[in-house]
Amino acid sequence: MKDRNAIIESGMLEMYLLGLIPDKELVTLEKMLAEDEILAQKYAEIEQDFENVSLENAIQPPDFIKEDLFAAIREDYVNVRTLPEENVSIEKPVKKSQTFMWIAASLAAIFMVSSLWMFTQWDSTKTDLKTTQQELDNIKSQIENLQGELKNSQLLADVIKDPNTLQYALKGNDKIPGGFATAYINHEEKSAIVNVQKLPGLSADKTYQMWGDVNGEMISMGVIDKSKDVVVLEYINKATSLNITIEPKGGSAHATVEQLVSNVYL
Amino acid sequence: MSNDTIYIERFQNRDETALSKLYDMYSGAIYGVIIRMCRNEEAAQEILQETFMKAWDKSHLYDASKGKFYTWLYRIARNTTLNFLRKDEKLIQTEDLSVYKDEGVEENENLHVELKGALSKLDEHHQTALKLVYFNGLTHKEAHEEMGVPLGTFKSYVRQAVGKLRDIYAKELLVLICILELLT
Repeated sequence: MKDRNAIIESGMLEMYLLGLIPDKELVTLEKMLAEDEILAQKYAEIEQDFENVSLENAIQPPDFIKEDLFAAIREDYVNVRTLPEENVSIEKPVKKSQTFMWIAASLAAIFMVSSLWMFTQWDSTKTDLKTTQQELDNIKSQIENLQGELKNSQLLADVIKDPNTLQYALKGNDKIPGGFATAYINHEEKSAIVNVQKLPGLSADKTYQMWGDVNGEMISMGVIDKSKDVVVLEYINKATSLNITIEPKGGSAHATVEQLVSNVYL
Repeated sequence: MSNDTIYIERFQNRDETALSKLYDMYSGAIYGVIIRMCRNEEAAQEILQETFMKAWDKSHLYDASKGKFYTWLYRIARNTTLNFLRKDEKLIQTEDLSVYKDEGVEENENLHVELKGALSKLDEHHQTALKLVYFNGLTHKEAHEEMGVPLGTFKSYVRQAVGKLRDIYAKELLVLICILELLT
């Protein structure tokens, strides 16, 4: 006797449905179906699916066939019983039930169409809402960027306006020909700001870093973020010069002097 | 107890109203199968009537524990149609086979029997496999020869097609449940 999976895989259930199983195997299969709930469930699913396929491919037969069928039955079977409450006539309840069936079918169709429409609308609204949320997030991010830029511009404006602010031009050497940065140092406020707009871009694995020279030792003022035009750096006390080097991405603890691209004495 | 079960029990007790209900429920589906099998409208109408007559006559043989009422009805329709076709073929073969072939083509074109629903969504080879055994009444042996593929391959096609039908109906059911949940 085959096991459950072998029966499923062999296509025996489909053949059983079609009535194609030989008699000698039929008894065994029916016994298995009666005893094995999972196999019976599988067969029930196949039966239901085939019934659905048939209903989807139904073709309405002409009305006279039903009339002929009942006429033939009445002729052949004299002992036909009908339930008392439905004993009046076979045609009337059928017509009545057909009318109800039509109404029910129409209502079901309207319900289905409206449900489908609502589902489509809901789905579309959900998509719109998602798009709007994304747009809002983009706008929020743009506003944050603009606020950051405004803050930097205001800071730059405040620093420049301050009479105590000194301006230093850092011209690029032959490593960055044409490169240029402007540093604004305020010794009273102890602030340092650099406009790096004119510094040429670097490869993704490199960054500019600014250093203050204190007694021959290069002390980091910070990594220059090239995505911004104006960068606030750390003010270094007693620095005698400002220096810009090219360092690996993320900056270095010690300046790579060979990669010095610009400097200015304070 | 579902309405179907009540009608079937009453049908087995030879209640005409139950027969009428079951006819309304299943005659379209059964007629769809018969007309696709025999490709002859007039014959299909006769076979449909004969199918329900046989079902009525043998209603006591239907055992609900062995399967659905529709499946039982389908088997009667299939056997009745195949018997008709065998008889018809014998008669025609004693006359002129070419006439039969020509007539067949003409009848096919006049009947709108293209497949619909989930079945029409399957790949062509899966569709053909199911159509041959389910709607054309061929055995697996006949059908694999008709398709020109080995029997094993054909059986795989049927298995895969049945699996895909299950997926389609399961998805449709899920969408319906979602809609109903949204509406409640």
